[in-house]
Amino acid sequence: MDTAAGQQLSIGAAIAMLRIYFDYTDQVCAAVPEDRMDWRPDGADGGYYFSLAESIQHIADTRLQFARQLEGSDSEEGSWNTGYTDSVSPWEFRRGSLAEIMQSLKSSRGMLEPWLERPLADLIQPTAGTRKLYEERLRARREAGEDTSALEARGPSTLASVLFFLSAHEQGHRAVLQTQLRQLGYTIEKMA
Amino acid sequence: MSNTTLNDMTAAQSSIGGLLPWARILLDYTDAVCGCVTEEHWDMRPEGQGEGYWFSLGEFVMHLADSRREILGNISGEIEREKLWCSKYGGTSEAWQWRSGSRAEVLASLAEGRAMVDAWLARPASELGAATDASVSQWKARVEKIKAAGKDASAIEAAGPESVADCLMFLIGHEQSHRGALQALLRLHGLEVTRYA
Repeated sequence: MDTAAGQQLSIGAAIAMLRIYFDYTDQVCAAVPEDRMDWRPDGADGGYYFSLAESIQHIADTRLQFARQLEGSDSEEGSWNTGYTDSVSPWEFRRGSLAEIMQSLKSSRGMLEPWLERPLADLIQPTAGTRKLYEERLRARREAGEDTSALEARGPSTLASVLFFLSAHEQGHRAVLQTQLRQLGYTIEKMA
Repeated sequence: MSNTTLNDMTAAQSSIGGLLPWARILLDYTDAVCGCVTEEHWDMRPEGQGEGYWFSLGEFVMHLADSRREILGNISGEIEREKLWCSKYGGTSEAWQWRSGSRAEVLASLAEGRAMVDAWLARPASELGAATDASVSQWKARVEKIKAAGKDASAIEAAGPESVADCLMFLIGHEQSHRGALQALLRLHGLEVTRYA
């Protein structure tokens, strides 16, 4: 294994796919037309589907949530989603124009950028923020008399865990959005 | 940034899979969705109005199985090409070509690829940010090839060889993308499919 040279790079430079994937999501989201933002698939399975705009809102919310987690905040202020029950019940979202939703996607992307500028050596470390949230969660569970062994074994989230999960999660939603747009007849950016 | 060192990590975080606890969950998700493609719908190909080539549902599973092998090949240096399902890559607009195989054979190949990913997830967390001997060799060969063609290789030289992190991040992100598309198509056709959210 060659470790020394690579550790000098920033996370974003060393793991170029992170920014490529975020860009890809942004491009596909930007392809949602204003007059289709409330379109929702009428799936034959009878389950709940995000509208096209709700898919973008969910991606923006997730970026915001994870960026805040890295900073040590679990605030939900400003989130589009106002109510989640389970995977089959409709989620609730506050209304916003497509421009506002796209702006929030851009804004939350911006909150992730400083983390991509960190040195690669930081990748497998928790941040001060994830450590703070972990300790708060641990304390709350202990005070409630709950078993904390699983949480303690897992430890605080590392930067790698948060950034990689965020990226993988949004690629799933980006692909669903892209598939729906293609099925509607739009020509959409495709990497493969 | 915390001053935590490797020594401060919990035992669970000492492996790559422990450091990325959701990785196996997402890989399981892909396996579960692929398992939902029935024999009856294996050859079904979407009829989207949009331009470009669509995988059949079975081809989605073939591509996912191939990708596990090919992407890991970047860091292991080993690809059993005779086991790949895709015989001709068509890019984003032309039809890809595939060798034939039964649903059971393709799912077995996906499981084989999964075992290969799991072996990397079991390695020490300290290896996550590192390049491997194979990725260094491939990077050097690529730089040499570009230079030999008289082109500028500075960007690729600066980026350095692919790390285990880069490889696994790409593998899981790529796979979640295709899992999402496959799942959306299965749902649109009324088929029962595993959903996390």
